[in-house]
Amino acid sequence: MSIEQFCGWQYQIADEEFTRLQSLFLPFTFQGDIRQNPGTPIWDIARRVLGKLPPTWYQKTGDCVSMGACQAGQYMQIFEMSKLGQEEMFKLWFPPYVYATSRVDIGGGRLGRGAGSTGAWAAQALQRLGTLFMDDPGVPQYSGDLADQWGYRGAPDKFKQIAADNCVKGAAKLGSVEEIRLALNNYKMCTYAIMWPYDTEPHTVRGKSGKEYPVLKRKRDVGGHQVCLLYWNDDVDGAFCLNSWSDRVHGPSLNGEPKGGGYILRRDLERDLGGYSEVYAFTDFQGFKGEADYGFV
Amino acid sequence: MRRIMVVALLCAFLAGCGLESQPIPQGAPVAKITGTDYIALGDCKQGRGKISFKGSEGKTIKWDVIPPEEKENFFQLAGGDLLYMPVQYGHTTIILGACTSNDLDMAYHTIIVSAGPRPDPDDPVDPDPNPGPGPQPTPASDLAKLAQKLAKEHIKDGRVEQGKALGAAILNVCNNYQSYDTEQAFREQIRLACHEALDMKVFDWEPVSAGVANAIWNQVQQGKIVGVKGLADAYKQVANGLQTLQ
Repeated sequence: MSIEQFCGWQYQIADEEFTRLQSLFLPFTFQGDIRQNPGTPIWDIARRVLGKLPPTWYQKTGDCVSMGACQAGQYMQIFEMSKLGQEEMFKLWFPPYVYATSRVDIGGGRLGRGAGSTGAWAAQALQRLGTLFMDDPGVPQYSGDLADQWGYRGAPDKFKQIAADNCVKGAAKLGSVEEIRLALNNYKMCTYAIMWPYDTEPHTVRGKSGKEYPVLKRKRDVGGHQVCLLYWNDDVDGAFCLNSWSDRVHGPSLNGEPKGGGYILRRDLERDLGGYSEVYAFTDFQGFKGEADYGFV
Repeated sequence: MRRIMVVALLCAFLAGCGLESQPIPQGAPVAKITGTDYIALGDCKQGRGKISFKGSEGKTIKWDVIPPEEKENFFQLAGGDLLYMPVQYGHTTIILGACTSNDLDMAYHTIIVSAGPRPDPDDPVDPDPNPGPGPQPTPASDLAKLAQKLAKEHIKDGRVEQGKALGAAILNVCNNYQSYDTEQAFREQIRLACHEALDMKVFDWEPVSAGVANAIWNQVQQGKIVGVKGLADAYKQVANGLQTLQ
């Protein structure tokens, strides 16, 4: 498959569908203290909590919207389990469920057999139909065919019952680089849908400190694509973007970042947001309930 | 809901695994698990325990683990025994199902995986070989002693300073215990406060936290700690121990 076929963000209807669903989103505001500066990278926290990073997805069809939403959600869950102390167990999310519920239940089947979804549909699917985990009973193996089938017919009802108690409680639409920076500094992972202009080659950039980082470089627009943003880095003045085209693209991982991504610098973020774009920050995931934990770490 | 489903699935599997070709034993199967209920997991991750499935001879047995864990951590030994070599702290519950074609019995067994040997509440803190001048603080309770003992064993750098910060954070939550409707909300706030106090350094305190958690868990099981106020009193002791570290 060419990467154009992975680009399933339906930018042509994204604004219209957001407007239809707008009342279901939160305004982008914070309660209490706002962290202005980046904290510990979420991947460092993930390694302390899980001992390793969640695998980077390798999508097999035009289901990038679900991949970006699930990867953002998983890292949000890790933050909430560790830094917020929530008594939950980490589980990998199953993207085809989000693909199906976003397209069929939220999108009303508007895309028929055509590929893709929108950021607003995925965010609302996570809020209203929950999250299916990969190790839930009977969950099939991921494949492009399965995602296509579920994306057309919808997710089986038995999985909707299982998934219903693990919802994202809120999502807010972001409209500027500053909002993205604030969201990431406060560990609100973002979905990021744009007209994708970046190549898959490894590139690096030097930060103000002289340290080297992986970075994404513009080449040519290949189509509407959703990924996720996990961390803001002041040293490079950019956001770390995790793609879903396997852990062998972009990179290299120079400072512990997940493989399969790289930083998008502020000037590129601004340019991205100047065109077709759809960015959401997630908050408050109701994860799989863990045992009572009487520890303080 | 999912936990119920795990058990339900196990039941379904076992219910469908009748051994029509074998004679049906007299009486219903009696599944029982014996063996270790505490495994000490140290810095080098050593630690193992043997678990035996008793009373299920002649039956089809199946076991599963909550929370889900790598099966590689379990080694099946001859005679129906399991060798368990955990790699992370916490509580592991083993579910055993034993069935004939007609009957199914299940047993549960929880193993605590913690740091160091099982804490003994009566175990005194090791005397400081180089006591400083002036009076030494006296630990106020068993939990304070335990926190101090574990901290001395596991935290080599920044122990006093970090202990003070952790203790203050825990104490602050305890003093406001009436703000929390549930024990879970209170426990989560304790962890949130500790992460805010030490950021990533808090992870260095994992062995101390695990030992304290086990001691509190035991007291909760015994009914010695009840409700949010009971928890707050317990954590106050921990805070006291951490704040008076040497």
